[in-house]
Amino acid sequence: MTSATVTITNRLGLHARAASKLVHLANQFSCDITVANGGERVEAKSILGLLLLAAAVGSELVFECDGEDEKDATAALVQLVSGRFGEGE
Amino acid sequence: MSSERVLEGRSIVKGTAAGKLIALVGRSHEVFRFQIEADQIESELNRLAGAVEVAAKELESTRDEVSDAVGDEIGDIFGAQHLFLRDPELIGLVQERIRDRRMNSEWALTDTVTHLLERFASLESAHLRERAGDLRDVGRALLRALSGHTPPEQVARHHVGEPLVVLAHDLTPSEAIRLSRAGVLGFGLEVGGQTSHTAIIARALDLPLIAGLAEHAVALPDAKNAIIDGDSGLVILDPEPATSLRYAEAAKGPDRDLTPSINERSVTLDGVPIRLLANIDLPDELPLVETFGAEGIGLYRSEFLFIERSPKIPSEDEQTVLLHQLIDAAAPHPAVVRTFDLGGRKLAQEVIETHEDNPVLGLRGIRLTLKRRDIFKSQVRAILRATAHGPLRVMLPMVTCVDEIHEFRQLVEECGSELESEGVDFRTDFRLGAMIEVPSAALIADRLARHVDFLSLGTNDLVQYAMAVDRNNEHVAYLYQPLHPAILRMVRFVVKAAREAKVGLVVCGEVAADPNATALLLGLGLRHLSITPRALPMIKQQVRSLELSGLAAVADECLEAESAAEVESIVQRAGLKAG
Repeated sequence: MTSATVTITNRLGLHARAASKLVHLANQFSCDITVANGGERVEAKSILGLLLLAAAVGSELVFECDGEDEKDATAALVQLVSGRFGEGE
Repeated sequence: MSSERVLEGRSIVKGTAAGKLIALVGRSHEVFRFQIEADQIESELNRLAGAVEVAAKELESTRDEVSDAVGDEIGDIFGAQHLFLRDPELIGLVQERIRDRRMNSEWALTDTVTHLLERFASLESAHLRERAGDLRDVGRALLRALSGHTPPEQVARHHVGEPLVVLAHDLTPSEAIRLSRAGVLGFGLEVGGQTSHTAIIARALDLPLIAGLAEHAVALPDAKNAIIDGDSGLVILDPEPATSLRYAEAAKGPDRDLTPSINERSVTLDGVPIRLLANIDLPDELPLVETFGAEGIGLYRSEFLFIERSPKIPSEDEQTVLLHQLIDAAAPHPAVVRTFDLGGRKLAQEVIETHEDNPVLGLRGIRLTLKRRDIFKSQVRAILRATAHGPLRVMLPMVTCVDEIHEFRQLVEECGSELESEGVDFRTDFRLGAMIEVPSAALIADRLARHVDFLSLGTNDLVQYAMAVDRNNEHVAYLYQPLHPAILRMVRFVVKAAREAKVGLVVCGEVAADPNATALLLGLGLRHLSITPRALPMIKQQVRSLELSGLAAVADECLEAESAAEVESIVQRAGLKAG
């Protein structure tokens, strides 16, 4: 299992479009992926889970990937979040 | 620990029924719920998976249409919904409810969505809270995909041969008929009163019905089985074995005691014959005329044929055959067919195709049929053809003025000459009657009687119109008082008018089937009662226990009363057990 911690820096946090990008990205990997915000942990392939995570700017997300392509998945997910989900601010 | 719970309502149709509980939730029954068996889990999961595919296809085609029309930006909204639809967590929660809590798919889905919507509502970010809309839409799309059939069809498909009981907010008459054919033995409704059309159906089919359950009662029960106790107006959810046993034993009990009276004559203690006829709604009931010893059919509600065939309009041939059966079932006594009493509320809306703000005061009964010759002519022609087969009597519903009788007779002439030129066998010499169910008709009963062969008191509507009370409105249902002095005075006037004009008079409203009202009706001068067949033994027993000679004086006293309550106490004091 590979894990990584990354802080949300885009202004809107893990909002609908960001969450949907995250799901699309997670779906490209076969490993199991969970993400936690504080005490709550959800599946990264679930839009529902991500939205209910209600992660605002400044939240620390902890990804845990488990499976064949776990290393690639972790790297890609960290890049997405730290790159502000491709949003300007 | 006992899981038994009781919901209280009003008894509308007596009797008890026990079975598996089906709840039709929502005003249009978009959700129907029941607990599944272990061996149904697999098929429910498959049904859910199938629905996801159907909903996904629907969503994709909507997205393509929207993207074509307004561009990808907005089409993306549907992309988010697509993610919801394929969401492993959402589907997982629904599957868990099916597997572990034995909910049927529709129930599991709505329960999951409701639960998740609550979580969305508690989020701090308004932006995230708004995403609940996507979830709601996806939930609806899935539900549509799951419930591609009407509730009665679903019930019929899922529960072959099982005893069932249904809880619903409301049921249309046709739903009630179809549900009964799918094995439903009793109903509990949130709305509905004594004489709603669904109640009439339930009574016709002898299925216990309770109305006036608390609002949202149907959404509450998380129960597998239920007993509908139509005698005390109770729904018992997940009854204890002891409770079930008690009801099972009671079901074997009395009722049957009345059967010997079927062969006895319907006469009062002082030897006055009182003629008891049967009200018939559905062809299935025709054998009951003989079983319960009715002296003829006093009311055949022909519009129920419409409800059964809905949305198709029954053909002339079909109607002719049915009227032949009616005549044969009543022989050697007469059979009275009431022409289509459509309109008003709920009955065959698809036929009327007009929107009315106040349908109960609108185009219904004879008003509607005289306007809609396309529908009515097939019935009049069927009546003329059937009259050649045997004696038939015809009565017109909702008559308010003499002209309507004339207009009907003209239509009969017209249909007669058509049939003649077609060389079809027919006769036009049936006896014609007018229903007295509107105060204006009651008050010109003496004038109407000049133009017809008999009158028929339809007390259900007469009470509704005279008391200005919607009999389905639970807030004012208490004003639905068949024994109100105003009603008794109208009845007395109609009795006098019929007697003076020497025309027949029958009462065919539900008050005639109330044993507590029998003495009063006889005292007012009524001699012919037409009632639901199953009440015949009970009313006959009541007739046979009464001494007619004293009853007129009691009725006279009641006509002077101030209220229905006073009428009841007068009857009670006279030892005639009212109320």
